[in-house]
Amino acid sequence: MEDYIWVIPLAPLVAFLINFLFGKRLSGNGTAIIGIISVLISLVLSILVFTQVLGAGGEEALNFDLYEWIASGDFRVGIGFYVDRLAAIMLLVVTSVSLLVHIYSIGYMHGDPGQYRFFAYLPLFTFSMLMLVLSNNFLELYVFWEAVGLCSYLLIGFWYYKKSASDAAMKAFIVNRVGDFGFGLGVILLFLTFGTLAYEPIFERAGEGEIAGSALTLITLLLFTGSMGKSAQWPLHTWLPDAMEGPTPVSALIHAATMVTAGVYLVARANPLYDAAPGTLTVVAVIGVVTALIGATIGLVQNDIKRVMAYSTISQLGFMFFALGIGAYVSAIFHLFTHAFFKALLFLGAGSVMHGVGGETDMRRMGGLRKYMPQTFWTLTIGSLALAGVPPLAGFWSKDEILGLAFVEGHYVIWALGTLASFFTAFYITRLIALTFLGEPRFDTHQIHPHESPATMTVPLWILAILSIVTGLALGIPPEAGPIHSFLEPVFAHHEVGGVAGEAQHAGGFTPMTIALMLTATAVSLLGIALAYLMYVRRLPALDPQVLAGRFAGVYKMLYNKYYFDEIYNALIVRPSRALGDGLWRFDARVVDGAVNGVAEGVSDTSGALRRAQTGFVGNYALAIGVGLVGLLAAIAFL
Amino acid sequence: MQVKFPDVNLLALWPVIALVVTALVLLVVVVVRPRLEGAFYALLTLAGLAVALVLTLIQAGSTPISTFAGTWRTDDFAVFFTLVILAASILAVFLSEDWLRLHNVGQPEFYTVLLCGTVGMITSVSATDVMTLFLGIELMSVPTYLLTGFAKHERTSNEGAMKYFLLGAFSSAILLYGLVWAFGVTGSTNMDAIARFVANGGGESRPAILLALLLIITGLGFKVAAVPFHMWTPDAYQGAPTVVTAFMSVAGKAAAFGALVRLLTQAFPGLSGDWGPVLVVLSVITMLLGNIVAIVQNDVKRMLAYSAIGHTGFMLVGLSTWSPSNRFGAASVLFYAFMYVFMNMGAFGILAWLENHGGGTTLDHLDGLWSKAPAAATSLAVFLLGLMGFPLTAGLWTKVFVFQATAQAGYTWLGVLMLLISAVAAVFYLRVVVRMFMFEPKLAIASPSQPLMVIGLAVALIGTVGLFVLFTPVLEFAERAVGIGA
Repeated sequence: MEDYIWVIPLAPLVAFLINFLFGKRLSGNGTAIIGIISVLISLVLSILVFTQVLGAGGEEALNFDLYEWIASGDFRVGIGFYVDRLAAIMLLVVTSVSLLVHIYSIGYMHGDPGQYRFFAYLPLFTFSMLMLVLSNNFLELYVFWEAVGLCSYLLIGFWYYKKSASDAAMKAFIVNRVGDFGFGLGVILLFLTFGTLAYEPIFERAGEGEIAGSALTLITLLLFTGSMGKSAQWPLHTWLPDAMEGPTPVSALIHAATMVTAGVYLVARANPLYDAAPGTLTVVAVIGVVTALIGATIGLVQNDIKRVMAYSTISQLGFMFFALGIGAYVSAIFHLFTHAFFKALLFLGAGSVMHGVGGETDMRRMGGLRKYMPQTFWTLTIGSLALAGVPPLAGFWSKDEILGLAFVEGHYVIWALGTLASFFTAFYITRLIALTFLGEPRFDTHQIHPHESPATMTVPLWILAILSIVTGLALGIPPEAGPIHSFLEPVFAHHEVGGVAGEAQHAGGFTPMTIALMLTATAVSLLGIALAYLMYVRRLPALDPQVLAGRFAGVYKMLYNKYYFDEIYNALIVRPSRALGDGLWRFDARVVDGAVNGVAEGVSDTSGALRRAQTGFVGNYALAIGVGLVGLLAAIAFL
Repeated sequence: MQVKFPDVNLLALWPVIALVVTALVLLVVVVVRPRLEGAFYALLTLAGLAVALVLTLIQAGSTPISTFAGTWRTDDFAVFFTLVILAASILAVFLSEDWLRLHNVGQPEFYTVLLCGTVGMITSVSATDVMTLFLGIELMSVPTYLLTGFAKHERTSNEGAMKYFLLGAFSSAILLYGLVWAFGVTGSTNMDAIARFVANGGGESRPAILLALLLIITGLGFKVAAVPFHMWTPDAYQGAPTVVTAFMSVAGKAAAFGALVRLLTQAFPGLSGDWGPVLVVLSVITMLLGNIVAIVQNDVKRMLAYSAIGHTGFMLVGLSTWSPSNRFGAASVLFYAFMYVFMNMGAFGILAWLENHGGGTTLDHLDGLWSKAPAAATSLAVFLLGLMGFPLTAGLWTKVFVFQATAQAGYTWLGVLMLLISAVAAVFYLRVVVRMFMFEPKLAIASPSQPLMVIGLAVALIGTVGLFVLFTPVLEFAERAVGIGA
């Protein structure tokens, strides 16, 4: 594996270089094909890695340095790879979704003048994300953590001439800065505590109990702030909905399936640290469940198809975090895995809808699209059912595991809140389907002629739809003990406290308890779907949405305005910062610039005077040498 | 009578032999076929240099070889500088060929002189005997005078060469005088023997030794262009053909620094407490003068000449922190010299490229270069940022390690001063970048084809950026060369 693992990230990097440097001269499809070939190479090799890891029995992770980058005293950092089962599964997610998004983008970006830029950034992101999951030390992780952030920034602001897009890019970057600042501090503290940044020694020593618990708690909390920023967890979630300004394939790849799950990956990767800091795990669980609820409730009333999905992503990431928080690492990664496929499917489906109706994203001006774009309708419905948690689709198995474990472990409050969130989830996604595809068209059918998308777009949709159906069945049965568990167990098996060790005791399977919980979860999902169906398809008078919105005007307005988080941040942070900036600018312009200009003028005058010493006469030059020598002699003789 | 030859180990000399043979072959070829078309002479020279480079790389791993009765030593130190010098020579051939062709200047003569100078430089850094060292310095200097005046129809070239020659002779005399004093006092020309003599500060002959030391520092200070022995530099650098300036500002400086470091740390290590402060003084005035006078220059070539003086100052800072127990300062100088090859030759190379296009080297000529030749403008920007010490270029690490040397030696104030002066230097480097990218083009440029030039510039560019990432092997080699961790 050592011989070829480096090709996996290298291939997209090469594609990036080709498309970035020469893309202007290639045709749009040429850049796309280069991107697709590179990611295809990565995917094939990732599958190879997966089979090899599967065959290896899971005991030993491959860990080696490709190159020692910095060696300064004790501070040694290499560029290296760490390949275990967790990395292998992440490789599969990243390369497969990336490939499908690349193919889809041929149709979606067709004719866009910036096409070559798009097909340069997309492989660059893929490269960065692959390096992120393959890193074998925290500094490398940090570097590529920033790199995916940069790609995200570039792609959100892809249509930079639109003010909303460049604003959204800036917002995403700044909000992530907050989290990354904490992450950076965490990395520094890790080095100060352990004297190294490599994964293996840190994870080994974290479990031995020699490091003070308070230090570990602080480190893990700081690392977690990074996760909160990247994975859009409350209170750093506000950038993700705005990030929908980017092209939709980008939203699918970066802001649904891969980059935003980097925070989940970080916690799972650093699980020995988190296990040694139970306080942090509680924080993770609380943040996760709060975010799951906030995201799901805001999603209930939004009218923009992509924003509903963005809040859905936030909410689902919250599910993953509270799974991590209760120690159910495997279930969190399982949900990450299934979510990547069905959420990418939903986003690409939304893109297909927008493509068909001329860029419209407001669901109030859609409706009745089912007959115009049947393939999009059916695939999107499959994705929605998977998200809603209807058996036997993928989302059901992974979400049910998380909720079931919360219940079994005795976290009843978390279980209850999570179940509530999944009820809301079923509701808003059914509402989305109903408003978009069912009922009568609410747009001017003379002006807009919806049409089905080309095959380059629908084929990836169908592939993702199939994956959304089968991944749960293939990996998640029996619950809490499916193949995914036996596969990932070695990654998380070293520790003794709570979580998986406890999980191993009750061993999962089809026990009466799990069957009861599964039935409950199914009932909750169906209830949510049924309610939305009655409200938006059957339009029961008793359940008219507008009447209800009027009756619960306070709640409705709060949800519609996303709990006013943007306004609160604006008042508390943005405006004071701007005032401070203005003040500093005035200080800078008058005091600092004055001083600097004074110095510059002084230097310039001196410079002019010294230049006159360069007379051009050889005799003067020789004299200068002589005077210099005498000066040195005098200095050494008298000092 | 029985003649006893000193033991000669030719293994140590293979690179030099390769170069000398190439130079002689060139001369013979000229006689037989005086006007060959194409880049034949350049390729022949490159072949010779490449062979020398390979032979040097083979030497890099092996144990030090001392030969010629202890007057020559091929050790890591010599190998390191030989690599720097060969790299500069190879780049110089790439940069020069198109200029020579376009100006119809004798290529074979040029390359012969260049190779001889290279041999002199390698001799200077391999010498462990002060007479061999002097021989090397002269063998390096005379070809450099010739190259400076190589554009023989241009007045500035002649003027620069004449000034350089007169002052060079003057400084050589001072250096030789210093070496003679050292021999007179210690009774030996061998560096190790001198070192043993001065180990305890020199005893009664201390004043005489210090006199010798100062004369040597003055003589070599001239060669590295340290203030106040720098006066020749702006005139010679500006007058010389730009491709020659590129070569001598890098290779000549590296060789002179190699000789200076070798002499000070191997012949006079016991006096580091005396020469250290002298170098501190020289470094401060050199940094200040070089970087400040550069600000008011309108000719970028002359600005780079002053900037070269400023870089001498930065390197002297590193050397001044050396002491037998803390050798990192010398390593920082070696490291600096290595990285400097790519950045400085690249910067001068772009100017030469412009001149070949019929452009000039003043700021006006560079206006709006971005819109006419984006690749050239971007490359020059990268080289200048490298010289500035900007992150993402190898230049960053040069400043970082000099600073680290000052911090380790307790001269932190000097390191801070260096960083402040680097910030001042940003003024004139960035001004060029601004003129290239944000001004409207004033002058048109022609476009002759310059294939070898482009290769040379690409190598310099890759070196400047690539070594930002891959700097560790260079640093480790430099540390080994000055005896750290040995």
